[in-house]
Amino acid sequence: MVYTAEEVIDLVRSKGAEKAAEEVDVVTTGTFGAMCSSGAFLNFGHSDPPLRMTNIMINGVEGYGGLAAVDTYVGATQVSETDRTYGGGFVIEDLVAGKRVSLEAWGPGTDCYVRKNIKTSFTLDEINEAYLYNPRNSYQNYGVATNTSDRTLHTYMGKLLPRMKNANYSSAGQLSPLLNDPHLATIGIGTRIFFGGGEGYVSWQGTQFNTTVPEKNGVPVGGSRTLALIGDMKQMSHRFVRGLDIYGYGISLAIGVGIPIPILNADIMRNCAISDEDIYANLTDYSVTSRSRPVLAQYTYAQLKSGKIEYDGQTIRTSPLSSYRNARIVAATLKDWIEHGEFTITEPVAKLPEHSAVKTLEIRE
Amino acid sequence: MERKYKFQFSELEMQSSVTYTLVSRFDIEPNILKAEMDDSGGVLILKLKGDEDDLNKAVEYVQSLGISVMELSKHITRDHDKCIDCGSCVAICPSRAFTIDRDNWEVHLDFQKCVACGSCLTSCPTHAISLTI
Repeated sequence: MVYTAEEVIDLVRSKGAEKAAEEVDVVTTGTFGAMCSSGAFLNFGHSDPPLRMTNIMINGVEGYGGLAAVDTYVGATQVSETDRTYGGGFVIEDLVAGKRVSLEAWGPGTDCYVRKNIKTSFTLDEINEAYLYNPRNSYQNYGVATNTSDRTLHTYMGKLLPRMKNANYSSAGQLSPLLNDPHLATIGIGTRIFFGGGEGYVSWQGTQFNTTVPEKNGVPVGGSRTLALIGDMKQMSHRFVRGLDIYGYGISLAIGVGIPIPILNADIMRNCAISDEDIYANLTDYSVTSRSRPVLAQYTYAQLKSGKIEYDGQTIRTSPLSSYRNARIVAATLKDWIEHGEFTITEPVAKLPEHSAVKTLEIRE
Repeated sequence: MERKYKFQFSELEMQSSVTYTLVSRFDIEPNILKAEMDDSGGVLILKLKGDEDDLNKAVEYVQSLGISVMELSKHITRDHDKCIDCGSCVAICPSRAFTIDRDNWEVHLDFQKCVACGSCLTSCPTHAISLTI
């Protein structure tokens, strides 16, 4: 039997983890939110005569020109040179949606690549490989942002009104992949996943992978483990891959990620049954500009999702930044694939680190 | 009944006490949602409560003063194809026009509550909301 991480909560409550583990084969999870550390590797194929591209613009957005002749990487946060509301995330969305995008590229002209520039256009179907390789996705929990200052802040955690009028959170909580397998008992390198509407894989630990964050009820109370994910863009669906223009911050990408968790024992079952009442996140003040922002208070996702929290006698309205509706659709779609034999669960080929702390960048003379 | 209007006036009409007249002559209960003025004139967005007849007469009167009047209804548009129901617009909306249905987690927009302040425009990351006034 396949259950979503939401459906399994009541089952484990009524039957207990031991009994439920006998009944449940797989639990599916889902999340759909901003994942800035994302991008696409593209191979355009060669023109005649060919060009070694060193400067590459796709719909006015720069692609990395330091790879082989017609390979590039389009980063999700790369902003268009002509339109601040467009960038890499939207190029990725447009390609997945099947739209035609413009390509301009320049090169030095060499004996083996005599052409010096090209101006053309392409669609996803017309190029060779196109795959997302996202260095940091699917954060295991995250903070809650508010603003104690007297002016509105525009952050990657959204619009923050003055004097703590609102607070924004971003994790899907009880449905979020890494909160359902908190110590990565089943998720590792090679785990097959739902990725933007197609099949993808966990390729590595994500950047800033952190196992040292304090835990409550067995899950970290803040951003901790992360995943590097890879997947074929040609399988993806526009529904689950969206460019984001986060006012005052820049461009990003929202992508739907769902990870299946095979229920191998009662412990894994128990972890999958975690609910929003048991997952905590830290409220932090984004008007503090230093690297480590003080924690003002802790709230459960049940409190955050209620639409308001209380702080020091004041009611603060809360907004999610990731779509719980779409997170549910991701988990339900993955469940449907597994039930219909269209998606098979894999065993990881290697484990992700059990101990890893995040280093900081020191400023040296 | 309640209706929302945008009054736009030039510097010539700035001295007339429009809202007072609405109360005294047309028995209308005005609620000023937004008022902006500079050297070239100003914009007033208000919610007017009263009889339909009185509202219509009041609007005619305001127009006779040379003030341009526009009724606001569905002035905020939301593109459902672009919206991903993330909820970023909910907590920043001062009039609570955006809400989340906690059963299916869809974001809803109540035009009756919207005061066309435009706060949501900079909160929406998918360019799904536009303001047409």
